[in-house]
Order: sequence, then structure tokens, then C-alpha cells
Amino acid sequence: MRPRVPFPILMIALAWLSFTPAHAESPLPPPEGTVILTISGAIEHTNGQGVARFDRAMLDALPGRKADVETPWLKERAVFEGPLTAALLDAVGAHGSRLRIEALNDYVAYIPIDEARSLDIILANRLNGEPLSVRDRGPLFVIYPFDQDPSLYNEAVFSRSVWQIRAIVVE
Amino acid sequence: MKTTKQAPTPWWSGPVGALLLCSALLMCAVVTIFVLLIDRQRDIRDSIREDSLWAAYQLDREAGRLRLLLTDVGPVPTAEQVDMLRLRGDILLSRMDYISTGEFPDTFQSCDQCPALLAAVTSEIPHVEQAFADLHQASEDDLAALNTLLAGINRSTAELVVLANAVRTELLVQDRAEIASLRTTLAAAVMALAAAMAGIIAMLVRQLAANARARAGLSALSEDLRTAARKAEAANEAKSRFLAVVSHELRTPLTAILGMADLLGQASLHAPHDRHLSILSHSGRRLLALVNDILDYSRLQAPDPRLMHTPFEPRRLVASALEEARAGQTSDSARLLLEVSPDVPMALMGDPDRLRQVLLNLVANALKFAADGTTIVRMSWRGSNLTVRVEDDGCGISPQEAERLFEPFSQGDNSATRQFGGTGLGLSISRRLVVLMGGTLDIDLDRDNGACFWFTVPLKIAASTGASALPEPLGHPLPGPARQPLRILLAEDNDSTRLLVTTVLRQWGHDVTEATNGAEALDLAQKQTFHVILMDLQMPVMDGSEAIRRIQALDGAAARTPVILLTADLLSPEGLAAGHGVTVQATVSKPVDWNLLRETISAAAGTAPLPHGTMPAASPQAGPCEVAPILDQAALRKLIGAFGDDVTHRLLTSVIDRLATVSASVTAAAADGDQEALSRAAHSLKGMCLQFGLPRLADMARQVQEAAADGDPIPVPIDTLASEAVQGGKALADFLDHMTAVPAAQTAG
Repeated sequence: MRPRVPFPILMIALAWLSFTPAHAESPLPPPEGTVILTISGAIEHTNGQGVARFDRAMLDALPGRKADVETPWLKERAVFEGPLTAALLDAVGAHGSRLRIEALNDYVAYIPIDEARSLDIILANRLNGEPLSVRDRGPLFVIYPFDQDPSLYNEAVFSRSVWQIRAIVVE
Repeated sequence: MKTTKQAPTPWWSGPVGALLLCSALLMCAVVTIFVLLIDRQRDIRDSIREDSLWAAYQLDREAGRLRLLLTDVGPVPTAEQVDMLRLRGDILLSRMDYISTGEFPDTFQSCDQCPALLAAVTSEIPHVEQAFADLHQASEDDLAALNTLLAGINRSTAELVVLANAVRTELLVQDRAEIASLRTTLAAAVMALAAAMAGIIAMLVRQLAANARARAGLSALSEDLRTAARKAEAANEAKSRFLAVVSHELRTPLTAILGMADLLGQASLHAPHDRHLSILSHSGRRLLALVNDILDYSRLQAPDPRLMHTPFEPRRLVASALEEARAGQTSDSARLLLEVSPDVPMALMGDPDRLRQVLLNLVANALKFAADGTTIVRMSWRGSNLTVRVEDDGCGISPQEAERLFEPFSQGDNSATRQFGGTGLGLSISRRLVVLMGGTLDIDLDRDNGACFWFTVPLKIAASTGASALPEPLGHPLPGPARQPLRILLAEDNDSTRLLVTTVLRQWGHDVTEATNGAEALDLAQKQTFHVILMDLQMPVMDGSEAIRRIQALDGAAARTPVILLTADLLSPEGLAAGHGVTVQATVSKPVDWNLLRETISAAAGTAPLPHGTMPAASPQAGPCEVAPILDQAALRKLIGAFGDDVTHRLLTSVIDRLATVSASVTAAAADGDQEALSRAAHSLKGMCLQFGLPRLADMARQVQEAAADGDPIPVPIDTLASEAVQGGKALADFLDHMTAVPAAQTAG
């Protein structure tokens, strides 16, 4: 629970925000809904406590894609939908070399930033149109573009396909 | 001896075939292995799955963590704690879901206990769901129950993990073993392929070596063959040279024997000498025939005996052959008939001498064996083949005899040989000759009586015959005086032969100058002019061909003098002459056929037969080649006609005496240099000669007289005149003798 900001300051801040571009030096807007992703580390834009916190709405606002893929975790083909990691990195102004992706069960995997930017990797939060629950391996699931590049379909990539993502640290 | 012919072995049998087969099989094996490997690749791709061991491990871990959290929570959890527990519960459920719904083909399916364990875990999912759904109102007992549930799940998952790991390692080892075996198989296949290749290369090398050996063998063989050919050639040459020498050596004395016999035949011999001479002559001729036949036979055995290719007249040829055969026959009762088909061409191209030889052989045989009957010779022409059939009605020949007839030295019946004589080589030689000409000679046996020998040769029609040197039908063995006396240079080293030829030539009325070797001949040719030169080939000091070459290199008329070779060599004289770069008019071989020699001389000198009664000395352009004859027979006969035998005889006798005297005075006057005396003496000589039939001497005398009168140099050497006078005297003397011997015949004119 955060301390409530005095109303006038909030007004000024909102007014300032509305008249300036959302990117560059402006900090990220604070999340309004439940925070499902926290990005920390070598980033430019934060929205409180030196980290960038995102709720579902903020993530949905980012550019993303739908990946109609066969995965080893589901018997049938499925459509995963979510923001592109590249867009996310741009949103936070990440300038590290790799991403440390942490899951709810403390599982950790590393993705090189180059890979995150060059491939259309998404942080899927929807499965077949429905929001991804924790039980369904949500809220966020790293989905590589298997539909774009079948050669990604191997065990090494599977081990980087983190589900039940809690946080990303840009190193 | 039969040699079995092996069927040629196909190229693909034997070691090469085996190796090829091996290589083919190995290639198939390698291809199969490749296919297998590619298949395996696909299998591997298909086997890319999420790691089941990891999933089992995570589940186990989550269950354990949740149990831990439950114990920390306490009997009554707060709302926050409930939220957190629910989150963790979701995580656990997600793992449990995954275990039940994910695809874990290899690992979980290949272990026996795994499906049961999996089922145990998945069956607890609804219980866990329920428990967490009621968590906010859970009692202590509920929590304890949840804990127990989780503990049970944990035990299953722990075992699952261990089993999964075991199976996984097993599969790993299996995979590795499969790949290793595949690699081994491939390696073995590659080794075998390499071995096969090595085998093929080895075979190739062996083949190449064999080829090289074969080549070497071939070249050695060809070298051997070349050597053998050279040896054969050398042997042949040696044989030819031997034949030449032998022929010369054998024929030279034979020439003398026969010639002397002929000369003796001229004299009238009383019995029993005439009979002795007849036997001598006959035996000599038989010996000559035998020698000729043997040498001919030997020569024809050579690989390439040369045949002539000149135009000839077949009718004349057969007629003359028949004449000769008839002349040689012993019995008068045999009849010899000739029938020439009208379509036989007038002139043909071939070797007339050899054809004549064959004809003569066949006809002589027929006459010999059918002495009392009739022999018919038929000559016909069909399809550019000349066919001659010699049919006789004599004793005939049985088929068995016919078999052996053509073999050398057999005459059918051995008794016949003794009875009829002959060499037994005739038919063999005849057949060989005919075969050489490209024809056939054989005997026709299907006749009731007698035999028919026939031969057929392919001949080309000749455009014209040209001058032929065929002898005329035989008259007397030694012909009478020549139509036109000639100056002849005779070069012959052998004394007897030289004497013989000179005698005969002089009998014919020719003026003969003798030389004993080529050098003398050359010398004489330079000093005097001759109509004809008769040259022997083998002479000491300078041989015939050298002498001819030198003479033909001289300036003036000497070089143009026609040369006739008189040689006993059997080698082709044309070839000899051509080889030495000289041209000869003709060749007469020894022993000399006098008719042939006579005709040859006439032809060579280019003298046409003079019609009777002509006085050749009247010709004003008496050049060196148109010298008048020594004796004018016609004029002398006129004398006889006018004065009768006795008076003419006395006249001529005195003429002979006076001839010597006048000739001596001419010589004296010339020696004194007294032109006037010379002129008078020559004039006197001339008159006498003209009167008494010595035209040549007369012509000479005239020349001397005219030159002496005009004061010019004398064209005729006085020695020549003198010797000419001597010759004239001799000729007259001979004429007298002849006149005395056969007085009646002379009037025939």
C-alpha cells in the first residue's frame, strides 16, 4: 500500500504528463491494476521505487503479437498473445546485455538482450483469447516464435521459455 | 589333330566380376546406412520434447515447498497467507496438470512403474483443488489433511523422479549404443568398400602389367619375324645366285656341245658317224631340256618369278608352237590338227614365251603318248579368258595316274618314263606357269579314249602387237645366208662359243669382228662402226654391261648401235640390263636358238628383207648403217645363169686370186701415198667387185677411189679394205663350195 500523493501535486503531475511525450526522459505511468511484472536493473524509465511495475493494462498497451504455435507443454496447437519483449525493453529503456527472468517458483533463466530484441519473443498473457491464470502457467509466459522459426523448437529454447514470470532483471 | 576352341569368356566373369559384385553390394549397404541415418535424424527431431525428469523434479519440489509453507502458516492463516497459499497451490496444480497432460513419450512410457505413479498423482488433483478452494475456512484438521495429502503426493513424485532419471540414463546409453553401432557398421562398410577399390586397382595394375608384357612380347615377335624374313630373303637371294651360276656353268659347255654337233651336222658324214652324231645331238638336246626344266622348276619355286607382259598374236604363237612340236616328234604317223575359234582376239597381252612353253609341253606330251593317233589343239576365247584344249586319242590316263601327273618327276606310269623319255617336270612347270598367270591347267578325264589337257588363262586384249621377235616356222636347223649381210661385233670370252657364233654368223654372210672381252669390244667399237653388237655378259677385264654402258656413252654412231645380249644367265636380262643403266635391243640366251638369233639380228639392225634382184650398192647414200652386203647372191646367180656352172666356177676362182692381188696393190699404193695409183687400183677393184657380186667391197673401193681422185682423206681405212677383200674372197669361196654341194637348189633363186 502506497502513501497517498497530495491531490494538487497529483494534478500538476498529471497535467505535466499529458503535455509531454510518454517516452524519453518521462517516467513510466504507475500501474493502476494488480502488478504482475516488475522490471529492475539497468533501465531508464521507472515508475516508483527505482523499478518499472506493470499491470495487465499497461502490458496490453504495448505492441504485441499473436503466436499460433505448437508447444511441448500443450497437447494441441494454441494461440498465445502478448507484448513483444522488444517493445517492453524499449518502454523501460533497457540497456543491459541480458535479461534475468524469474518465475514464481524461483526458477530462473537468462535471455541475451540481442535475442530478446531480434526475435519476436512475446510475454504471452492470453491463451486462445483468455487471460492466462497462474494455474495455466500465467500470468506471463515467455513464448518464442516457433511459428516463425521451427529451428527454435529445441530443449535449449524450452529451458528459456519461462512461465509464471514474476520479475525481469536487466543485467 | 583337333584343337578345341574355347568359347570366349565374358568380360564380367572371373575375378573382375567378383570384385564388381562386391562393390555393388557394398554401395547398396552404404546407401542403406545413409537412409537409416537420415531416418534417425527425423526420429531425433520428432523426439524433441520437454524434459519429463525436470517436470517430475519441479513437481516434487513444489509439493515439498508447499508443505513447508503450510507448517509455517500456523493453525489459523491470515488473509494474506491464504492468498499466498492459494498462489502456491495454483503453481502446484499447474505442475500436476502438466504432468498429467504434457507429452512425455520416451521417459515415462518406457518405465514400468511410472504410469501407476503418474495416475496416483493425477488422481489427487481434484482433492488439491478442493482443499485450496476451501482454504479460507479451513480448520486445523483440514490443514493437517492437506498436509498429509501433500506428503502422499511428495512420496509419489520422489519415486517418479528417481525412476525418470534411471530411465533417462538408460535411454541415453541406448541411444549412444545405437549410434555407436551405426557408426561401426558404416565404418565397416567403408572399409570393405576401400578393400574392394583396392582390389580393383590391383587388378587394373595387373592388367596394365600384362598389357605391357604382351606389347613387349609382340614387339619381340615382330622383331623375330623381321629377322626370319631377312633370313628367308637372304636364302632366296643365295638360291637365285646359285641358280644363275649353275645355269651359266651348265649351259656354257652344253652350248659348245650342241653347237659343235650342229656344225658337224653340216658336214656330210658317212655311217656310222652320222648315226653317232645324231645320238650325240639328241642326247645333248635332252640334257639341255633336262637342265632347262630343272632350272625352270627351281626358278618357279621362288615367291615372285617374273612374267612378261607384252603384246603377242595368239594365232602365230600356237602355230609356231605346233610347228616346233611337230618338228620334234619322232613318228610321222601322228596327226596334229589346230582349230582356232574366230572370236579369239588378234592380239593379247601376256608372256608369249611362257605360254608357248606350256603349249609346247602339252602338245609334245600328246604327240609322245598318242604317236599313232590324232591330236587336236583347240583355242577358244570366252569372257576374256583364253582356253586351249589339247585332245589326243592315245593310251589315256586313269584317274589314279591323273592324281600324280602334276607332281614333279612323275609321268603317270613309271614305265612310260622309260619308254618315252622326258624329265617329268613339264606338267608341273606348266601348271605352275598357268597358275602364276592367274589361270587353271587341268585334265579332262571323262573321255572314252585318250586324254584332254586344257588350260585357261585370263588375258587382256592388246592394242597392237608391235615388233615381235618370234622365230619363224622351223626350216633347217641352221638357216641359210642372211638376207642382208651386216657388220657385227661379237664380244664373247669363251673360245668355243665365240668360234661357233662367228662361224654361224659368217655362214649367214655377216662380217664378224671378234672381241674376247668388254675392253676389246669397247676399243673396237671406237675404231669401227657396226650394224649390230652381240655382247656376252660375263667376261673378264670388263664385263658386258660395263662395255655396253661405255659404248653407249661414246659419241657418234657407235652409241646408237643396237646391242643384243648373248647370255647363258637365266636371270632376267632385262632386269640386269636395266639395273646397269643400259638399253639392249634384245636378248638371246645360250645355247643359241639360231632362228631366234637370226631374226633378232635382222630386227635389231632394222634391215627389211631385200627383194630379190636389188643391187644395194647402187644406193648413193650409203651411210655407215646402210652398208651393202658382202656378197650379192643374185648377181652371182645371174652369172651362173649366163655362163653356166663350170664357167662361173672357173671365173670366180680366178676372181678370188685376183682379189688378193688387187687388194695388195691398193694397200701398197696407200702406203706409198701415191694418190693416183691408189685411185687406179681402187677403181680396178671396184669394177671387179661390182662384176662378181661383192657390193660392199665395191662400195668401199668406190669411196677410196673418189677420195683419192679428189685428194680428200680416205674415209675407209685401208686395213679395213684389205680385210674386207679377204672376207669377200672367203665369201666367194664359200659360195663356190655351196654351189658345188647342192647345185640343183641354187637355181631356186
